[in-house]
Amino acid sequence: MRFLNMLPQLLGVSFLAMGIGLLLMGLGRQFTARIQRRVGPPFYQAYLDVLKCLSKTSITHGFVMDLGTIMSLAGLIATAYYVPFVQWTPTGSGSLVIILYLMTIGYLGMAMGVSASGNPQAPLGIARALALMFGYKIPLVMVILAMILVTGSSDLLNIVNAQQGGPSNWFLLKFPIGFIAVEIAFQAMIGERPYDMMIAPAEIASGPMVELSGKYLGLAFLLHSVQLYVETALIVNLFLGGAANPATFFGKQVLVYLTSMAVNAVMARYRIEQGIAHLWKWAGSLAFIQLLTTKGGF
Amino acid sequence: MMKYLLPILVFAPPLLGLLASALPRVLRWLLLFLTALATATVLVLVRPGELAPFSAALPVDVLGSSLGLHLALTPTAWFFLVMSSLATASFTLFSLVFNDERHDSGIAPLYLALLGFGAGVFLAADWITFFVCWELASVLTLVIVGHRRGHAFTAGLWYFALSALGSLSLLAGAWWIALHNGSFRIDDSLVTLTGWIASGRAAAWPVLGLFSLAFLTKAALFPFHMWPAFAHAEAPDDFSPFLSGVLIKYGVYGLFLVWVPVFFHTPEGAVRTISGIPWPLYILGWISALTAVVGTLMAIFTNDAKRLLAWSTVANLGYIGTALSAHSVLGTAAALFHLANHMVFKGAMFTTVAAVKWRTGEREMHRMGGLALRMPLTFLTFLLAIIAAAGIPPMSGFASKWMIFQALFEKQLVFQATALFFASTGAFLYLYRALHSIFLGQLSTRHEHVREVPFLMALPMVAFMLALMAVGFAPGLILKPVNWVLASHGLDAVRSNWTIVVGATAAIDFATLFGVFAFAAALVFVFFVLGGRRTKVPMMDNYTAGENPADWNLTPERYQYAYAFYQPIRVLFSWIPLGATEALFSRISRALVRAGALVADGFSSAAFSTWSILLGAALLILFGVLS
Repeated sequence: MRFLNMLPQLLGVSFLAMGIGLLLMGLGRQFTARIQRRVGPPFYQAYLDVLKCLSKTSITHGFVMDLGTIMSLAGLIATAYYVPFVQWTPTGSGSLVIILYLMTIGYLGMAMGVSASGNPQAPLGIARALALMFGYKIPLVMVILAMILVTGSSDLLNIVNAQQGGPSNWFLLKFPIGFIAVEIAFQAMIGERPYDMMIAPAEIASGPMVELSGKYLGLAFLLHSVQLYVETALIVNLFLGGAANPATFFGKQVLVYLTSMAVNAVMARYRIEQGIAHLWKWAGSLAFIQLLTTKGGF
Repeated sequence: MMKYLLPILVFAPPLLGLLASALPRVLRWLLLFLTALATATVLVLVRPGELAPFSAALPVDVLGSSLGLHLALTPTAWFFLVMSSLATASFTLFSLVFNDERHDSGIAPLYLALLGFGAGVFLAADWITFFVCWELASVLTLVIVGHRRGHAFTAGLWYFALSALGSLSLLAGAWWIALHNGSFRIDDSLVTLTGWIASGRAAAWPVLGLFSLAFLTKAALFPFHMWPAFAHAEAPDDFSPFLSGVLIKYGVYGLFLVWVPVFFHTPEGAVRTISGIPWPLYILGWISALTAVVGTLMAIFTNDAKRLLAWSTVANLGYIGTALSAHSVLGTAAALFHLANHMVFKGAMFTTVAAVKWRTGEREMHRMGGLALRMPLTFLTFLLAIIAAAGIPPMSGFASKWMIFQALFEKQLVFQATALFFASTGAFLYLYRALHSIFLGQLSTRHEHVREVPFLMALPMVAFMLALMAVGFAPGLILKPVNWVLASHGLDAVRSNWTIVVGATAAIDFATLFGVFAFAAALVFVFFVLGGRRTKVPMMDNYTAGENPADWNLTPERYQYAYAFYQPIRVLFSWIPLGATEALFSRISRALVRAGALVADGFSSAAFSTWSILLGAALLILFGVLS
């Protein structure tokens, strides 16, 4: 019964996540274009792209590809149900362990779907993406652990609540070293330069996306949009104190995303092992320092 | 009948094993399966505490206490026995079909005996019974693993050497305590040991060390972590699930048997604590976390499917050890819970790999690929199992991993938690790699005609899938018996009902988790159906950068990326001497062989042997005079 009452909210959050994510993608493209002194596409371009892709005919290489595609987007959307939006989640829980692990089923679905396409470029890109995941997950988790130490809760809702009462309470100021570490990790999480080696269009033919067409590509777009929503919301909730109303929340998400797009616009790409080493060396050591100082009570 | 149920559980399977050796092949395996099934059924029906302990004394006195057979069904033993016998019943059903004329390994009689002595390890109430069953189980495992000479036999010896080292130290520990309290009973000796620790007696620590060595080696914790990669990988394919799912848990059972009563009943302040944890447990925690990391890295770099799974077992034993060492209700429960889950998902993975090898004859992952299209059910079983093994919701593995992390958060063991997160992320890497290399990508032309497994083999696979999903939906299925075990040790229960578990820093409703994922999947499915029409194309109809595949003589087998899958990570870790412990143990064994040869050479010379016999006689006389 409780679950049935939840359904409209779940539906709402699903579309909210996709809507905000696609808007972020559009704004990001426009922003990058301005940096590069181009006119760029309109901010609603991503919506058009997705609708167009979904309506086109496509090719598939078997049931595993279909299953993987569905599993990937479902995993990310389910994650969005646990990420607080304006200090609220439809499921009533914001467990960080759930968020970290549910996102993984999205990646597993994605990896499985594109591997089943039979093109070696796809698993090559996935292998890079997973190797990179090794690089950014550890720093992110260390900073989150530091927050769990301070707040005594692994629920993101409680972590947001602990930051209420003005910007001086934001964890951005309480965990400044951790914030830098997570910002570096975030760049890798959303796969932007210098960490875009899993896509690397000129090198491995867009890696995972190589065999996707029509609705498969459309769903992959949606996957990326929900991923952007979840990951920017994660940063906003962890460091920027959440928000009191949807507009502020969205504003903070845009700020987080455009910062990363600005870096993306001016950087070159790392090689994969350089990328992981860089993540561990910088994000990892900063996160370690953060965790050590928090644990030591400094 | 009920009175003799416990000895029947121990002695009937070996006797049936003798009988089985006289039967034709099919009947042997059938007898094995029926025995396992009967054991599982009986144990599920019998509640712990309903059966009186069984004792039969021998007319032999050692250190003032009479030796004999003492068996008892404690809740802990019940939990381990029920979980392992349910798993074993599924494994043996798989074996029933697996051992056809071409694949028969002939191990059924030994396997039967092993079931009995394995039960004996769990049921033993005194150290002598425990030791005898433990040793017999080890010897049988050696024979089974090494049933084919050569590589497999070396693998078995690895296992046996470490096992013998451990069990001898176990006997020494039991003897040490019996010298003081005159009893070989396990509960007596643990009470004595707890008393020693409480009174600050230094002898407690070497005794605890002697006890633990046996279990640490059996549980493959660092630095004894390399034997499963040999033994589990080289064992008969249908025996590996049992080896990895059930047998390795004996070590955990031993740790549980000794460490939990001792450390939970030691008064506060008697033992020095680090981060609120008695120091031996703190060390165990770090050893386990290290085991998880090393096992994970080794699994990432290996190219052999069975070795990969063996290393994954090592890593999971690391999680269990870390949870156990958190020294809390939550940690202890999480260890038991993860252990039960590991039995199922690792059993499922080893059986699917065995099924694939049964059909294709391949074990090296890069020689397979694309099998999902030929063996969809096997693929699905493997998929659900790796979702559970990587700790991804909504399968069972997530529930136990979540509890392990809650236990670590509770004690603020953040660095161990980081190590486990590292291992867990790595688990996703190597499991995906296995999934991809075996089941996805291009189907080799050699495997064009591979078929799905027969019905009886599919049956246990379906059972595994149902178990993985059911426990992921309702962790209470396992947590309820876990709470009985906790209660029998005087610990509080984990706060949970069928679907909700309350941790230290958060509570999770697993049914909701399951439900929202299902809802999201349904929503995406609607998008998928509403989207444009799709056409199915052959696998080789693929993007090749505008080149014609025929020009490059491109076969499906060559159009597959599977070998050296994580080379970038290998490059990153090239500075870690991953084979170092293996090399060290090889050096030790070579040194032992040389020393042995020296002694043997010595005895073959007349002068040395005369001298040593005289010395021995002198020593005997001397001790005789002194005592």
